[in-house]
Amino acid sequence: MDERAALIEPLIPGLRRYARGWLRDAALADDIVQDCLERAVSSWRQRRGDAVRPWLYAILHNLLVDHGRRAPRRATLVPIDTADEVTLAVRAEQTDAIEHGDLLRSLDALPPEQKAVILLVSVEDLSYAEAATVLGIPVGTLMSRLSRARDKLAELIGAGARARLRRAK
Amino acid sequence: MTAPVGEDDLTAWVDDRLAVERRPVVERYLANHPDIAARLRQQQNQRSALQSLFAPIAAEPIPATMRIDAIAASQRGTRPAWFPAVAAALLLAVGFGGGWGVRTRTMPPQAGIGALAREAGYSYRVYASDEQRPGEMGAGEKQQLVSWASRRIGSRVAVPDLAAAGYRFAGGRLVATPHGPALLLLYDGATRVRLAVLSRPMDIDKDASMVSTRDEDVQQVSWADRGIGFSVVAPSATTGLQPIAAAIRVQAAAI
Repeated sequence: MDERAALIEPLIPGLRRYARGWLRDAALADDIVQDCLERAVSSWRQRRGDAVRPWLYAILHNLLVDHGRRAPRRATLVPIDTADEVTLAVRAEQTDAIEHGDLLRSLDALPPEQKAVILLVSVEDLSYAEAATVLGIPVGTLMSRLSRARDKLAELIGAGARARLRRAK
Repeated sequence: MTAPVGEDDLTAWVDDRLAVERRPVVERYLANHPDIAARLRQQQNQRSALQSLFAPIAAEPIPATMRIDAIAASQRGTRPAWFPAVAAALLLAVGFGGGWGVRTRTMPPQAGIGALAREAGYSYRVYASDEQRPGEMGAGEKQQLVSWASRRIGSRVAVPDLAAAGYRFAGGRLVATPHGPALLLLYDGATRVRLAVLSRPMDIDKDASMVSTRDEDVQQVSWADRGIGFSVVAPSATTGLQPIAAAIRVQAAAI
């Protein structure tokens, strides 16, 4: 019992962050993390020898994908003008010339499987092997998908920033 | 011979996960391909922008509802109310007769040790084949199972230790019988053989010596001591059931 808590609880901040990468609505994201944790507790023994971290992210990932299917493009497309300051509580600061609003808008515009690889590797810092386990794909597929997803994200950020600058003129 | 630079090298370079010996190879390659180098540096910017964007979320305190202890406690509190429904179904199926010695070729025993053995056989066929979840409560919840079953059956029960015979406790549950709730305990043997022990209070045959019975695919050893009946069930090919039953009898007498 204590071992289970000791293994799961340190991962909860990351799980919440991953859910928020998918959903702009913080309460909804936490509901899905809660669902993930409840499933993890009730099926703890079925985990057998699997490593805890990819196992938990896989449960959460599948719940997020299911949710996305049920509520297509609604929760993810909260108007970013309100979302990036109110929901995410981040300042619109500049990071190496990428504006956070552009970044979020572009992330939301990515296909789910590309968004997943970027969030799992770049933000959650899972190893390539762990991320491949979460998504149920071979490591080679994961790496090429990651490379394509990053190119696509860069393209979207560039297009978004140009559009914003045009509007500003 | 140096392996050529691959997309995987470039991806690992962006993530700063490139093996030390590959670094100079990739750096040299990027020096010669400024367009690719620019693309990768853009990806690195993107990565650090994402990290700083989402960092505040991981720094938030986690909600109290996400504590594992809280989740485990709430799950213990919500056990399914399956018992009355199963009891009703079994009563309908088996019927309720009475009387000691009602043993004919056409009618199965409906009371005493014979009935107990039959009930154990039914339960064995339903639950022992369940790989995933043979017991309502698993081996880790032995204490909860014992206190719950003792309360429902109205008599103190225990989980016999069959390790010496090569069987490990796998889980248990209450099952419905025409004679009230019974405790079904399941044990796993070394060769995927599953063994079950059914016990319940006896109205008739309060003390009965051991009898061995066979019913199609299963064999049983049943007895009663001080008002509690026991029936040990195993596949008919299993050997050594008699000494296991004897061990259970000794342990049960010690409660």
